[in-house]
Amino acid sequence: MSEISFINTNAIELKLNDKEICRYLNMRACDGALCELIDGCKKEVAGIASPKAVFAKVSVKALNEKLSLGFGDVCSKKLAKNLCGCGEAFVFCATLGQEVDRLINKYSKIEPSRAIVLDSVATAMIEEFCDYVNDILGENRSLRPRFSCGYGDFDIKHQAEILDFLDAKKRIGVYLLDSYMMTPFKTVTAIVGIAK
Amino acid sequence: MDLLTQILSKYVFFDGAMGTELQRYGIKPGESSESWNIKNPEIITKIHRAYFEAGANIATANTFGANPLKLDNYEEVIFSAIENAKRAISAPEQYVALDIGPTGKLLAPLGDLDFEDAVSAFACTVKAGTEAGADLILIETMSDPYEMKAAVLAAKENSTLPIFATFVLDENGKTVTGCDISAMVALLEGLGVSAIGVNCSLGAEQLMEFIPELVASSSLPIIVNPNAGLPAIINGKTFYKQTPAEFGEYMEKIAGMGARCLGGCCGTTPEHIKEVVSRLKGKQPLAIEKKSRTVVSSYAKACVFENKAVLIGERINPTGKPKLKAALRENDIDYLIKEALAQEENGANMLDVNVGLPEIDEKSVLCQAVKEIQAVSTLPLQIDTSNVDALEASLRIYNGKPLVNSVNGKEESMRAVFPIVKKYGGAVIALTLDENGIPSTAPQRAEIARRIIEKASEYGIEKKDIIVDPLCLTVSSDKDAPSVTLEAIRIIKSELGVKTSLGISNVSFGLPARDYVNSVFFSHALLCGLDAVILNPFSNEMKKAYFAHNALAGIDEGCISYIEYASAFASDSASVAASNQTLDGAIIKGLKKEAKELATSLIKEKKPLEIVNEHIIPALDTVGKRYEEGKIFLPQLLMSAETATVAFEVIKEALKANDRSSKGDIILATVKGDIHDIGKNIVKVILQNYGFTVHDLGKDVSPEKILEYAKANQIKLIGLSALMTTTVSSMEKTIKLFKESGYAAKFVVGGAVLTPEYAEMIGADKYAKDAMDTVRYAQEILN
Repeated sequence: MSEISFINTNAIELKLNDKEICRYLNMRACDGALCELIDGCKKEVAGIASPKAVFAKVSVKALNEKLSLGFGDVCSKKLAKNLCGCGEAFVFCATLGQEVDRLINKYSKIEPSRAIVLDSVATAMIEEFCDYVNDILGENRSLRPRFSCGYGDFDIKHQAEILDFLDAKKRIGVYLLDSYMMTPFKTVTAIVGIAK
Repeated sequence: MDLLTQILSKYVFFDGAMGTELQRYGIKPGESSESWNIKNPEIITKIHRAYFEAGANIATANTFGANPLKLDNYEEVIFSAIENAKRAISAPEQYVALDIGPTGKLLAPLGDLDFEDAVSAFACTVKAGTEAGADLILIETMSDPYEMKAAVLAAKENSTLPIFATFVLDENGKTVTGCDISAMVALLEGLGVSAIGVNCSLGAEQLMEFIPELVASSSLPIIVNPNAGLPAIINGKTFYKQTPAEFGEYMEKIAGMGARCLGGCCGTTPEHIKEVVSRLKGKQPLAIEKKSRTVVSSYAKACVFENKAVLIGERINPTGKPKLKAALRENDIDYLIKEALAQEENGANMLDVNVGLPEIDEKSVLCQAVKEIQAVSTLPLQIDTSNVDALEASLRIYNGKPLVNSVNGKEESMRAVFPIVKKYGGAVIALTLDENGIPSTAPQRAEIARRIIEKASEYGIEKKDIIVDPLCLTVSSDKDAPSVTLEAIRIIKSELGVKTSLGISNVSFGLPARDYVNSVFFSHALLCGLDAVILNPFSNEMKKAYFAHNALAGIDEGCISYIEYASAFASDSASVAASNQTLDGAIIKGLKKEAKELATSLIKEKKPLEIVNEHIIPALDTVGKRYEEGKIFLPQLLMSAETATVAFEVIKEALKANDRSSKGDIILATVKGDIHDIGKNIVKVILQNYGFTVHDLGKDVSPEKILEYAKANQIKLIGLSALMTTTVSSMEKTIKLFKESGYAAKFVVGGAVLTPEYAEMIGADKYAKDAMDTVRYAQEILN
């Protein structure tokens, strides 16, 4: 038996790495005015982000390249390789919430420099939150690296099945557009194999 | 006794889950529960009967997802579902609800479903359900207030059945779209539903925390239909663990808090409902208290007219504002957005939106302005127009409960405005003038207010939704004008018991240093109990009066707001420019405040064009070059570009129109299916800085719209942006459509997943790796 479990945390608790933020901005390092801007953006995103995740444990049944994962069947060599030897896996969806999208949209209209820094800060935050979720999932067990749909040959169309399976729309407000884009924008779904 | 009478005098019980029961009868994971209405009608009836036997009054028909967006045979499904439920009725006080769940899609602007498409989809369900004989409409499990509004409107427009509406809260007491309880209540009460409440998502235990706020903010019967605890999955099926006894215990507590209609959602069974009914049957529920709060709302939060006066920003109104007029004529909605956000930043609680200009299509521009402002601001809006069509169209697409500006005592005005306010659930500003003009005495103005309130009630609009503006005339032409207005505020408040609002600035017309007069008059009006003011949020004199008044009147606990305002005010007025800074240097470093001051002082010494050619352009060139050499990065490039814009703004007024002619026109659009346009907006700022005229068509733009716009404006360069591989196909379609039409244009494309090869494959003329690359290409093509 597995539950659809829920994780949330206060965004302020997520410690963001400035180097990562600079990397998303395609920069090696930052100086004066830019550091100030990044600091301001970190505070602003932390003030409105609402990190939430849902996850469930599923059994992994592999037949050649076809994997049966609880939410549906997936044909993906890369994912099969990633999950090789795993009897079970976690499926999760993590998001920072719609207010982050609204904030970035707002600044992209009035101050694009701030918008792209906010965007990079939010990217760093969702990654950090995924790590946070990973740490909780990985307590007392060893996990494989996260694998998301859209990576390699893992078809992005499985996004719909994953979100339905986790009831992500109702529980954490994650919607899928016709173009398979998720909103809120800072949302990640992933499969994490549990190593035996 | 009919349902609506019953609900006023005693508890009404909803049924529990349908899905959970269907699992018991063997529905397979992934199988649509609605299909069982036709496949296994007798099982559906049996489930409804079990709930009625458990004591439920309302059977929720199995139509949750029966809308044309999800099911092709939705009509057939609805007819059989209602019939299946009706067959289960065996006693009085048993009813069948047409169940309407969300479409499953997110509405624009954050999602890709158009508001009117949502209304149409819900309308199909409502029509079928009403015709099939449902007794009421239950709109449930909504988490987006905008989708909720679409569903309620569809119900109101296509049926006369009572509407019950419930929404989903998360553990923070908001919907996942960020709407709080008060805002959702304001919206639903405004739209005139019969009962409201919460369902699903959380169990009764978790929901309990939010019931007091729900009861305190609403005058309607409250519905609570929680899940049986939190879910678990066993062999791919979802299960809920709470026992009927536990569930019943929590529900009894919830009833004790003032909830009136009780039932269950996911995981609840007839046993759960039976437990709730047996604990409450025969008991007298708490009385439903009528609230008289005046409240309006945005998609996220409510603005309540109580204690502190509500500050309504007046800056989005073209009267006397040439820049705004020009922006409206050029359809430069971004200018309005900037005005909106600057007012929000400067402490406005609401924004007045008036786009009335004779030469524009007010209806379409007003709707566009409302949508775009609501996409970025959480403030409720005051919709300000005398064009009835524009008013109706904008109230319809408004996300929340709007404030309408305005109605007056003329019969014609009331006849036109009240039906619209009632239908779309707004509050309205009532001006105390009528066919005979503005009366000269306060009692006469109060008399008009009384007549307006009386007339409004004939349309079903309550007194709490009327905010009277007793009007203020110019003191320089009539020395008694201000005291008449103040007296009118007092009478209207004490005798009629309604809220008041005032546009202050008219009082000082014709006088020098008007802000001084305005702010003192404002203080006087506040002392008379004024509840809202339409003002310029950038006026420090008005803000000083406001914060000082609140502190003195004892409505600013610990004078905290005053202290915060005063300290920000002090630090703002200090000069920021360092003595040895140059304008070029400020632009290169991206220092906006400094650039503004330096440009302001430079303009005293140099001609505007000299400043542009000798300082701004060279600085931008330096920055552009450094960026291309990899010495600085995108945020710095943008900071410099924004700083240059600030400097341009300062000297713009001094520049003659043809001094800085456009380098050429370019269309920018984020393609169909793609709703993230940050990349496009970056390119736009840089292109503008280099002197190009950018026609920004926005995001999720169809190929047809781009072609139509290009043709109409004869634009030969088009920039397209896409983020996902799935939306690059829209790019390809757009280019193809142009080629088929024979309209010659160049395409420059960019976006995260594009490569030069990919760009070539879809027929683009140029792949631009970043904003500077686009500028260089535009220079090559257009110069």
